[in-house]
Amino acid sequence: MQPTNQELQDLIAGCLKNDRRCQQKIYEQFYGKMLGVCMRYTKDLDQGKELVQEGFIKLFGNLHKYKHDGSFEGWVRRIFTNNAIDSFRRRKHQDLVPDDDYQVLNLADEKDEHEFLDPEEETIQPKHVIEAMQQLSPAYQMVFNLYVMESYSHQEIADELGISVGTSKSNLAKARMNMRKLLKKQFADRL
Amino acid sequence: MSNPLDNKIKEALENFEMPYDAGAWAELAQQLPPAGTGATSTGGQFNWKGAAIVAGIVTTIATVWYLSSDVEPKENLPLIADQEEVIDNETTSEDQAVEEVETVVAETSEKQNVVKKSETADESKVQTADNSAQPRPETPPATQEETPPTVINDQKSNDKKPVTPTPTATDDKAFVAKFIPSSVVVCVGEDVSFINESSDKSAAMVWNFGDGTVVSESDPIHSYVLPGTYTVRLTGTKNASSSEHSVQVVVNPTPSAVLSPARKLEGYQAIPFYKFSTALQPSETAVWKFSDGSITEGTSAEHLFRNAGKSGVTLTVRNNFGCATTLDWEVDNEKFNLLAYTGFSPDGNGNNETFMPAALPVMNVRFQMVIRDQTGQIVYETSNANEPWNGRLHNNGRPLDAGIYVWTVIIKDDIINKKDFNGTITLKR
Repeated sequence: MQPTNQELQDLIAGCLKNDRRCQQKIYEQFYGKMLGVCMRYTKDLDQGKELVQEGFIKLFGNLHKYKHDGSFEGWVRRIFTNNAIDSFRRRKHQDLVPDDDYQVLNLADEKDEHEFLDPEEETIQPKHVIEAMQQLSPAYQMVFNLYVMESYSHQEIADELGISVGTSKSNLAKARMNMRKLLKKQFADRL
Repeated sequence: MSNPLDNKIKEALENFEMPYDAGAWAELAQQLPPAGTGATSTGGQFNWKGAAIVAGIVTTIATVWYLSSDVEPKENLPLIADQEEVIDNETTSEDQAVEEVETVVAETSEKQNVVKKSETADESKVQTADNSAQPRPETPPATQEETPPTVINDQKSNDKKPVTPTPTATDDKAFVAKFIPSSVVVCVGEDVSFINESSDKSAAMVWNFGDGTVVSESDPIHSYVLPGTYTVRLTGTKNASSSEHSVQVVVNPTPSAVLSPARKLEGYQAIPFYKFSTALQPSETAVWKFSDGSITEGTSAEHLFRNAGKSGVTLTVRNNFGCATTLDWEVDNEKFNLLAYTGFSPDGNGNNETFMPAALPVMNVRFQMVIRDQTGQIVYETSNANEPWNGRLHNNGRPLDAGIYVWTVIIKDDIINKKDFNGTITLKR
């Protein structure tokens, strides 16, 4: 159940005093949605859960910065998005895998036998989208997330990820292509 | 965003939610700062009572679990549920919580038919809880999450002399300092918050940010003045146990931007046409965002402010590290409509013979002017500021009737957001 504005203010005030009950209420309210967000930035449920916990620690640690001047959910979502970006940056520094070496199912070479199945014509189930997004390579996944889901511009993505605008654009194009193929493949598999 | 697949995907995930996982909260709650401490407090207001009780409960659980696990593993399941309830209640009323602990202990010892050994252990546990219900501000909060039952006795002996608590082996588990920075790559002047994830947040924390700043908060926020790579070191000391954790934070430079405004047309104070410039390093880009919504990029920008009141520009200079500096400039103007006259009389007396909005000949911008009569018929068109309308049809046909005509000027240069100006001009004969 959605708390009213006043309830939300009280909950936030409680959280600032580290009141467990208030923190739990906030946690319960946003866990499902934010795990849904985190799932898009990861490979599987375990990673998603790890990211969501990290996000909540940041949320509670930075709650005093919330200015009460916009949608709280929007603000919460930004924390989680930024956390996903931070995590991506950390991973990038760690494994230094050039993204182009990361092969996604060799999709480009796969014969497209299911041309008649157009994802745009079908209703897409959330879980299928998540599944498909989790199969994108990290860099494609990140650009696709930021551009499509979070409505970042290519310039903003370039700035956030330390890549060029051109790379952002090409990653998006490749991510879209892979998403289309992955979704089509899912349709075919379900038939 | 007009890509149909994008829209479809976004739509599918619009209200997407994963199922709730109650266990996840219990896990997170352990990583949060102790209940009852303010988020910005430096740890001085630590709730000793609460912590002692939590410790007591945790110990109870651990002990009951520990003892019962070899006896009858199957019976453990309902017990877990009971414990969770107790933990949940713990924040509301401490007295109640203590009672609850007693009940649980009593219940479980009954339920489990635990061997003699456990009964004595339970007793000591209840005592611990009772003792902790009395304020003992000088006793360090007990952290004994996985302390075996024997240690409880040490705790009891400590209780007898609460005035000078000797840091004994209460904390068998050594203190481990740990933290996570909100970001490891930041800009000069950007806040980095350090989330303390040490094993015991009641420890004395000393943070060295590597730039000469040392603070002793629990979860500090810091910003750097100079670019560089800094090693942030947290040293935590709890009783005799001390631990260090460090993380490198890369601080990237922030551009030192300038915003130089000037009038585009020297001497024409009535024309709010400005030119702006900044100085850029090769690694920097500049974005000019004007109050009318138009945006341009580059070292310089020109802009015409047509609206009355305050308007201005925000310059954002960003370097290839993604660090940005923002500067604002504001001006207060009259409404500007190209300084067009409202009437003219082509009668050959040398006065007001033609019509051309007065600003256009000096502004030197590309434009298109169209003049229509009241039926909407075009009577004159030009894109040359030196070819004013002389009151004839297309300047070479028949003299047009006196009356009101409508002019529209569209600015072709990218110096303003809303590019069309218009007004009426009265032709007098």
